Amino acid sequence: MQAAFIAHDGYQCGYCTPGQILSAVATLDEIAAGIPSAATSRVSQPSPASPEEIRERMSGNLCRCAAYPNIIAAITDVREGRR
Amino acid sequence: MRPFAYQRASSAREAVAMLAARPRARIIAGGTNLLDLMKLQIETPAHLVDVNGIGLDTIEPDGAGGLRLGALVRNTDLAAHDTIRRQYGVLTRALVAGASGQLRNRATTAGNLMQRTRCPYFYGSAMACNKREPGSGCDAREGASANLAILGTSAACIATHPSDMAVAMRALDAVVRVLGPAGERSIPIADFHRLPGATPEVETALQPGELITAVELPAPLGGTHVYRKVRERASYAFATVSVALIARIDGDRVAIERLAFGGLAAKPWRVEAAERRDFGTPEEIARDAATVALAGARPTDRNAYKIELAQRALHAALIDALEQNR
Repeated sequence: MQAAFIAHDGYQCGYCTPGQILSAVATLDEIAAGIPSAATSRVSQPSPASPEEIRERMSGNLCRCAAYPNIIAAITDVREGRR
Repeated sequence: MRPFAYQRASSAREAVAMLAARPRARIIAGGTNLLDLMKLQIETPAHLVDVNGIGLDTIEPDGAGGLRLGALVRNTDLAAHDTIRRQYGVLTRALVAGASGQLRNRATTAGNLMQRTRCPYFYGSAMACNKREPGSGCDAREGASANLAILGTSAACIATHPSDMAVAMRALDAVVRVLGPAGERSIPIADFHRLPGATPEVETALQPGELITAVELPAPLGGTHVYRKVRERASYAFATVSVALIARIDGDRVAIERLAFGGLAAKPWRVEAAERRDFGTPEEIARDAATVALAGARPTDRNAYKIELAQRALHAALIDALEQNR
């Protein structure tokens, strides 16, 4: 996840980055564990690791540089096994 | 933050005994609200009793078809529990609509019920607030009241209760189990949170020295479960209006089995008078139910929008219910 954040420029000032990376790892773990979120359309079923799910689950981490698209790209890379 | 003493309890009985021994003691569990309040010196307990080690962290069948939710079950674990997701979907949906993942991992079932209002005047020590300092007045009524209550308010207070979970529990007719010096008792969730009246500082039916041990859910109701939350941003914000709905579906028509609103009052606002009516289109049912629900609304000039928003949120929730069955 750290390498993916570097590859996708998932930060600017870096202040929020440690928390973003911790939450990114937890987000993928929680999706894999079948824990529902507010973006899950059918809560009785496991949720996919869609961009909407990732955004919702990462919403507790604010980034005032607004690196959000690159953070999503980094997490998606890890989820899809590219890193 | 002011100095305070800190003790860990190892059982519910020991926690109650610790509370009884110290007059200004408070329970701490997840700490997701109390620690903020202590840093701001809105809460200044002389003594904290930590209940994280007392157990009561499981979800068990109650023997009568319902479930007993331990007071210390974390919000994430409750939302993800298989039976809750399948049989009490409105509760899972309400839980995941609240706070953020980090907070839900710490926040507990009992603590969620006990959290305090997020009215900005309650948090601002330079402003008058009858809830923070009884008798000081209410600056919210003439102030920034856009996200405050429109139902069940009083001259003394227009704060809302911030919980999403409690709104779903109100729709489900949950029962709060408590343990105190005199033993155990049950409080229906309808009676648990109080309207402000002349004493807005008294927020719940919990008596001094009592500890919540569990929340009981009656047997599942079936139906289609929806929790629709409207807020100022897409995630991680308190409700302006929320709707907990259990609906019945007949083709393209819908009927309300259970209905409660959040974000409108100092307690979850259940609308029994709008339940078990005839089937109709979402538009008809929303209009009729909202008329009943909001008849007594007394908004400020800044939050009258919530009357129409509540009807629209219910309309959207009824459409969600139809969509779930397609």
